[in-house]
Amino acid sequence: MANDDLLGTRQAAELLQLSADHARRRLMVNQPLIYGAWGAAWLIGCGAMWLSVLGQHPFRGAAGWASAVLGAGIALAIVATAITTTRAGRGVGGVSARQGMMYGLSWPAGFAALFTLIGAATHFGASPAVLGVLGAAGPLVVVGLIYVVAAGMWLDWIMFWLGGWELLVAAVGAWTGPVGVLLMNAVAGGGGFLAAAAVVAWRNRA
Amino acid sequence: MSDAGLDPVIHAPVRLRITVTLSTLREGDCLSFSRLQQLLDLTPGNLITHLRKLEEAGYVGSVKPVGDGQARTALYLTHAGRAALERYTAALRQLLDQASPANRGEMELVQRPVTDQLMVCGAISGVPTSSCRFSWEPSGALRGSPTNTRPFTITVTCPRAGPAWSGPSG
Repeated sequence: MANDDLLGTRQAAELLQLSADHARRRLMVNQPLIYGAWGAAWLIGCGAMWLSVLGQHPFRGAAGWASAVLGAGIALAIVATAITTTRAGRGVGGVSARQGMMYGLSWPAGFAALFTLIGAATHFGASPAVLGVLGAAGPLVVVGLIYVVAAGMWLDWIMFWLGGWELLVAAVGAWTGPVGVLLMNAVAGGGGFLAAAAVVAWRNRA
Repeated sequence: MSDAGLDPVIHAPVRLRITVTLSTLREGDCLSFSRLQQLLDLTPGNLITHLRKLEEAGYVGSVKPVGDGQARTALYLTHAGRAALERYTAALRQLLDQASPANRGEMELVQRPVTDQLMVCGAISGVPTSSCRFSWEPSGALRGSPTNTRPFTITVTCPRAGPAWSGPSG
């Protein structure tokens, strides 16, 4: 206790800076990891899907192995996201926790609605080409919208532009047809995530 | 407040770390006791002691999670606490500015041996020439200087200027 009062001005300034940096780093979600994991999943998974449908006449749909690659990538990305968000948010209560909970729920809600919609389209006789376009561009619309809105909540411009970019990729990709949309997803969609990961990592370092 | 202007409630290593850590939370957020303890790497007893002082000063508030009797409280920095930390940071910055070499009391601007051809050039902005004292005194023989020269040292002493001016020139 007595020792606690012996603190020089310069020491105090250094301690203040160190404590702030330490706390911010530990309480911050690792965004580059999240963006990187989703970028890799999209790039590799949709790339595999694209390779498996390349040259199909007529379009029948992606091969099972390619869907498995995408599924594994998505599962890994979900795990990475869950780990970094729970680690950063542990013990944090109040406004951020409630916002984070609602934001977290928007993902399963959005995708459940999308897959139900695709199921309905299948039920009412949509062709493999239509289902291919919906299945590829649909997730990017969900991702893009959630990011644009969540960016407003956290005032995160990189997230805002990433969301807008994914919406653009989905809209343009859909018009390239069931084969082209997969290539668009892999390169432009996955690439957007990887670029955002790089920008955030660079910004956090500076 | 102490004479130095540094709030003694904050100006202690552990309490400074607690205050700064809680200040990184967004307003409206709180941090559980166990997470705070883990972030600061402190024993529960040590943390409680210092938290009590901060709570007594009204800098830290606590909320008890509803429904869970066992759970420890969550802590947050009050408005008064945030304001106190801002004042503390400003006071710290002011003290550091004053302590920087360029501003330490009186300052010797020029102290160099010259020969019979005397010309010293130098300028420091913000220091009125009238407030400076000039003095010269003979100094020891310059090494290797001709014997017909009289080495001396000229000293210009100026009072401390505002915090903005930089080191010596000339």
